[in-house]
Amino acid sequence: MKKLFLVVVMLSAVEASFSQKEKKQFIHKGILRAQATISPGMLLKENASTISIHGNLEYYLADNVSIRGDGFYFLQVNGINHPLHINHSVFAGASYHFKTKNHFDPYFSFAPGIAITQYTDCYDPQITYGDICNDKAYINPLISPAIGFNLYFQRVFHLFAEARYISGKHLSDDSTPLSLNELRFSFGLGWNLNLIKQKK
Amino acid sequence: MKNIFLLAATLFLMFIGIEGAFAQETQDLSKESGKLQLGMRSTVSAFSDDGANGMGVGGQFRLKLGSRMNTDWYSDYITTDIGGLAKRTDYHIGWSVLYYPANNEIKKGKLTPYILAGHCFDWTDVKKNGGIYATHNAPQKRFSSAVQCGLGVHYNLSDNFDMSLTPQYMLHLGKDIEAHVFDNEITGQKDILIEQKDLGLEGHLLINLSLNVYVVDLWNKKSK
Repeated sequence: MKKLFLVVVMLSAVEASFSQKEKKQFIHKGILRAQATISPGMLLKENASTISIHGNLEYYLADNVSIRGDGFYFLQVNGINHPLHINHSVFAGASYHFKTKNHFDPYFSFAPGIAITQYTDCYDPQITYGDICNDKAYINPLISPAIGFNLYFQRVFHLFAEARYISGKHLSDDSTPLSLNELRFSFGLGWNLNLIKQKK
Repeated sequence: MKNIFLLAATLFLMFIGIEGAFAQETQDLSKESGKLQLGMRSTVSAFSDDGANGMGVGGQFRLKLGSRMNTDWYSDYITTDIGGLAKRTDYHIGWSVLYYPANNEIKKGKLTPYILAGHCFDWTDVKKNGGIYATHNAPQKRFSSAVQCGLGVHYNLSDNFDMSLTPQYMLHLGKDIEAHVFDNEITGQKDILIEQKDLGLEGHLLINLSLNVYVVDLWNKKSK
């Protein structure tokens, strides 16, 4: 709780220092941003937590809209239930950026996507299903809204934080359906470039 | 009778869309026609015969033929969980004609309703869960053709990006695959029977939410 408070205070201080200097929105058409981080998640119906590597590439089509691609590489699942051996996912969507007068960039995002999922049974030495052991990976559709913010520095770097809800279901020929509904969080340092120079 | 009515309504809307679009085409050919958009979409499939709702993902491109007419070329991958007992997979590839009662322009803030009708090819695969241990049920597959019609709306968030919401009814013209969930008296549990029927009409409601980016003017028109 103390750490969270410190982070919030720090972000507010950085944001306030930028807002002192200029009253103009920093984000604009032509920004390309990218980030990579470790993303913790919670499988909401399986009482399990997950860890993934999250990579993202985003391009601002206009001052208020960007298109983005996100990829999550599943590392591991923890918890009483260990439902999945693989749960990679990719998304292609867009973000709506709310208007501000500084370097702070809050947004709402929506993205269709797919999950590549594999049931864990085959890999658990305690469970031996013999022939019905399911060792195939399946592709399942996902829908994912997200909210978050970026805090841009003067150039090249920015801080970002995002909370993403993922809705989907692992359906396979062999095992019973499994909910993929999950909350994932991402936080870290990103990179940005201006591909289009702004008119002064 | 209900299905024949739906088919007639689909064809009627399709006719109105095409006729209306051609009537307008000469007026605005120089402005909106030739604009190409690329997009992604999420799909919810509802009200199918088996009563289960599916979820899908897909993509499309749109080529405008005028400010009153657009064409939408799409593909969808939809999976449906039928009562936890079987999995239905649908692959759609098709096209639609969009008719705008009011002029459509790709411009920030524009909200444009439209009528849509079109045609689609699809592959459906229904399998009972349990793999080789699934009893009295061979997986059923079919290839069919379909027609669809619906209503929708674009909202342009910027001069080069829109979100579109489209509920549409898709009517399949082919062999019907029916999945019945029933109480199995021997096992005392829910079970499912998957059957392929003869030629018939069977449909479902598709609700698409799509995100579309204006990419290029293929006609490469000079602004006047």
